[in-house]
Parts: sequence; C-alpha cells; structure tokens
Amino acid sequence: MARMPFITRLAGCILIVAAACVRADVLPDERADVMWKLYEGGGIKVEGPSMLVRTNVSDKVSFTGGYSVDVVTGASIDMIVLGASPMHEVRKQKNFGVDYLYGKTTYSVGFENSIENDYDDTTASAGISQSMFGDLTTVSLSVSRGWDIIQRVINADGEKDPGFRKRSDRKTWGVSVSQILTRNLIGGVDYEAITEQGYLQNPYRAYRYLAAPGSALFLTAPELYPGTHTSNAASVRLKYYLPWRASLTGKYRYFFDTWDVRAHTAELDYTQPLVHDSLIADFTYRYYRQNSASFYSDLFAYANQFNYMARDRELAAQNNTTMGVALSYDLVKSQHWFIKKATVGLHYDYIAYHYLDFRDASQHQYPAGSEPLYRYDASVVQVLGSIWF
Amino acid sequence: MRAMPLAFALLALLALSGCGQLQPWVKPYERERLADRVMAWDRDPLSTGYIEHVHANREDAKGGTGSTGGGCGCN
Repeated sequence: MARMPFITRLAGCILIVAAACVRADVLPDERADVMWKLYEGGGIKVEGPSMLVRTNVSDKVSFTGGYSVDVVTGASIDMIVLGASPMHEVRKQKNFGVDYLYGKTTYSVGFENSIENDYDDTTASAGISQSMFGDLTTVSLSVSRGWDIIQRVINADGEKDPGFRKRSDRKTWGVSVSQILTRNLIGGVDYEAITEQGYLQNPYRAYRYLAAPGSALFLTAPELYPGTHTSNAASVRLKYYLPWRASLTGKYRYFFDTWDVRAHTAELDYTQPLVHDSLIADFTYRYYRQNSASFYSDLFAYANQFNYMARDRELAAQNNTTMGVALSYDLVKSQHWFIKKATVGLHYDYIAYHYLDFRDASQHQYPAGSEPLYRYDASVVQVLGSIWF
Repeated sequence: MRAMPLAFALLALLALSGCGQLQPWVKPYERERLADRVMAWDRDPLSTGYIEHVHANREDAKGGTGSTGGGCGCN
C-alpha cells in the first residue's frame, strides 16, 4: 500500500473523530502563569523564568503562548572526566498554540522552538480531543513532528565547528483516554510512540576503554550511536476523592525501546486543602528504574570493540526516587477588577539518582572499572504566580 | 509505525461506535466531587511541564504523559 503523506493521515484521524455526536463544551480557563525555577544537582545548575498565557478570543477559539529561559552553569561528571571547562549556556524556548472548539470536539495545533548555542529544536504538533458518553469519557489523539539541528562548540568563546552540522528528526503519536469511573474515582490510560532518526548522540560525550589488556588506566573516544530509535510508553492513572476532601493519585508507566531499555515509573500523589480552603498542599512520591541500553558499557575492553558504543548515564541502569511537596495559596478568591482568582505557589522536589553500572571515573585513585558507582542528589525549586481572568 | 495512524482511527471508531446509545452511569448532578479542584489532573501546567522535562532529560524513558518537544539544557 502506498504510504499516505503525514498530513493526510492526520486529517483522516481528525475527520473520523469529528463525526461524533455533537453538543456544546467549554474551552479551558483563561489564565496567565509565571514561574522561576531552579535545578541543582550533579555539578549542574539550571535556573531561569518561564511564563504561559492562555486567552480565549471567543467561546470557540483559545490561544496559548509560552516563553522559558534556562541558564545552565557548572560541570557534569562527564565534563570533569574529559577535562572540559565548566559551561555557561542559555536555552530559550517559545511555544504557541491554538485550540478550536466545535461542539464536543477540540482541535489543537501547536508550535515549539528551543534554541541553545549548539542545539536547535523545532516541533509542530496537532491534536484532537473528543468528549463522549455524557462526558464520562474523553478521547484525545495527538501527533507531532520535530526537527533538530545539532552543532558543536569548539572553544570557550562559543565558536562553532564549521564542519559539524547534524540533523535528527522525530515523530510522535499519542492516544489518551480519560474516564469518569464512579462519583469519587476518575482514571486514564495513555500511550505514546516516538520514532527518532538521524544524529542521536551528544557530540561532546565519549565512551571509555582500557588503555591495554589488564591496565588500570583508561582512554576515551567519541561515542557511536545507532541512527534510529523507536520508543513506546504506556501508562495508567487513577485519582480518588477521599471522604475528608482530599485526593489520592496513583500512576504507573511502562516504557520499552529498540535500544533494549525497559523502564518502570510509579508515582503516588496526595492533595489536601488547608486553612479554610485557601491553601492546597500536594505531596509526591515517584520511583523510576531502568536497565541499560544494549550498546552501553561503563568500560569497553578496547577501542571500536562494537559498532555502537555509548557511555551516556541516561542509558545506564539506574533508579531514582523523587519526593516533592507543593504549596499553593489563594491570594484572590473572587472577582477583583479583571482578576477572577490569583494564587502563588512554592514547589520543592528532592531527587536521588543511583546508577547501577555507571562509575565515578573522576576518582583516579581507583583502577579503571573499580571506581565507586556514581550517585548524586538534586533539588528542584519552583516559585509560581498565577492569575485567572 | 506506519500503521499507527490507522490504529488511532480504528480506536476512535470503536470508541465512537456506541455514541448516543450508552447512558452515563454517573449523572452530571453526581459529579460535584469530581469537579473539585483537588481532583484536577493538572492544576499547574507550567510546573508539570517543567518537572517532566527534568525527568525526561535524565532518564531514557520519555512520553506517555502528554508532553513533547523541547531541547535538553542538560549536558
């Protein structure tokens, strides 16, 4: 069968769902959010502002726009091992989207662009969401296409290697079903497939190998990655209303990909209103674990041992645990001038990363391959302000 | 992967095949608790998107949670 163009397949999906029974629905709330966030851990500090605005121009059309800046400083374990100087780089991300509501169907298109001095990522997305069965069920379909350009900075002044310009393309397909199950229980299932093709590795990262058979020393060489990657993620979630006006949420995600990584993510969230409903507290516990990719090794026996060789700790066997607390306080609870509601929030997450086959190669007092396993803790702080108008 | 859009379409057809026939077993007037803000899946989309970005850039697993795109900022 001849392959249909991407846009034709998307249009087909949209038309089929648009044939559903039609009654009026409502667009999401108009609101503006600003946030300052900080990530600090593993020798890296990332901080900067973000904003997101949603406004409705009628009862059928809604626009969203967002802008975010990440200032990245420090030196990761990979950079220390390779003797690279600490970095200072800026990532700027902007996104824009339109939602169109027709009856019970919401059509969405979006555009996102993220720019670093050596990385340019552009993503276009489209989706459709249909409410049905007396609004008990909402089915959403989404597709996106991404185009990345990867370059390589060769000195501290930010000068780029003129002979190095790589590309990678990405496609995603997602389906999501949200379901009202009882008067106290809602649930959902999600599935997303991602295919990537092109230059998928980090141009600076290296694998390491023994300097000679039986040697206590190691040498490094640029990583070698496959040119394709397909991944699948399926998740299930449930949220239950507790008798004392609080909620408990459970989530589980299973992930598998063509690089032989299998990952499990489990999360438990508890939400509790306090202080006469002016303050909402959220508590989060998240556990994640994965095995290593088929072409990953902490220490290869010799250079060019295999066709594909990586020492990216993102591909190493690892588990991590996140514990978070979030507080949100209502500053304005009823209409005041043009503001319907306003809140401020403070979120803190602590993440402990444990690697099971990635060693701390910066500790040169140990023979290669005998260094302690690498582990580190990270803190994520978010300060938020939101208004509904 | 080429079959993915077709699978979506079939799923949509299956889901919609009972439209207008199935009666909601939780009536609109019985959804007061579900409309409470403590039951919202995502009260702070900006915050949710950021924490998912933090996780996705340090784990191989991605997707299945509704967020896509974005550069790394994570060397």
